[in-house]
Amino acid sequence: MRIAVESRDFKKSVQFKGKTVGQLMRGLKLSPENFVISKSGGVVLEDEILSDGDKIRLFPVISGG
Amino acid sequence: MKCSRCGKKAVAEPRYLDESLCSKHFSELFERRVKRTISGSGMLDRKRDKIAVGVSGGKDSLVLLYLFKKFHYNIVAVTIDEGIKGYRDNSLSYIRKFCARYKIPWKLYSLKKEYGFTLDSIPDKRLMCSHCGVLRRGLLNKKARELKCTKVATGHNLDDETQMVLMNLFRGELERLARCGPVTGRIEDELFVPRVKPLRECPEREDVLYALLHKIKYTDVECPYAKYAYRNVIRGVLNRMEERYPGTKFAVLKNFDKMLPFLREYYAPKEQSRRCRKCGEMTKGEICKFCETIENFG
Repeated sequence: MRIAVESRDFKKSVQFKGKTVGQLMRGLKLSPENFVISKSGGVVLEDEILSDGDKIRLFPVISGG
Repeated sequence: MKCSRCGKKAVAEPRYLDESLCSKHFSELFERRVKRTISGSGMLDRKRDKIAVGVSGGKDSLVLLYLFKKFHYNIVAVTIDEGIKGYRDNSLSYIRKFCARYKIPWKLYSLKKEYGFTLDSIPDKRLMCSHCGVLRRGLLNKKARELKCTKVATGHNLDDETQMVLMNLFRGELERLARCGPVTGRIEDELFVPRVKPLRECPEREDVLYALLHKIKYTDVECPYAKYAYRNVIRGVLNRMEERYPGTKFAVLKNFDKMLPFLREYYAPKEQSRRCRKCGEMTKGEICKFCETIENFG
């Protein structure tokens, strides 16, 4: 399936063979600890199941000065 | 994952708590914690205090403003524009929109207008955070006084506070540490507006989550000078410890708070603060740190 992923520093569409948000994050080599994750505008946890065409937005925990 | 308290969809899984929480129960926990921080240290009096809230446009300061509004405090938002291109200019529109939406009075002061220079013009970037801190705190204190505010509140979170504790310990700056805590400073001086930190028990991650759940739009741009900060190294150490031993940050803060009365007694000021011969503000020496910084770079 194809998932759109957007964060402060990047925006991309990725081909994904796994099931959950946690697997997606590990595939992207990103630590879920460093982001709050949303799907279609709602906050989700690592066990959230993904479907083709889902849009994921990553909010970095660290920001500011 | 389901909320451990009501079975609805969970949005938070704080490892230090060992439970999952839905939006409602997470928000309740977060707000209760802030109320407890405020009442536990007696930092604010809702009827008497007028609070200057230092606002940068980031998640912490806007969450703090939101909560003050929700808890019916007498507030004025104050922003210090240090003149960092691509950073501060980006954040101003977020603050403007937020304050208009919640009908909060907002005051903006810039180093450029007040003193004719910007932080970007300082050539040596290595000590930027230190210079920025001196200038922002100094100007915020002065403006809060002019606005007849009795307290200055900042959005420092649990991560900021525990980093500050370790930074001062590692550098051997115990006297500086004695000035920290829920109500900053140990100065009894009519020119000093006490600074308070109501979010100091809120993990940084939870500030982001609370902002998202309550549709608080903030800027997540990082300060371009943050990469020079010693704080980054300490942040990494603490985050690794927290990941391996959940609850580490709370333990550091709790134990620091226990030590604080002893530190304050040991480092109690032996003499009253003096007046800077340039600006008339508080100082230990002949001229204050603020004027010293301006003299060097202005």
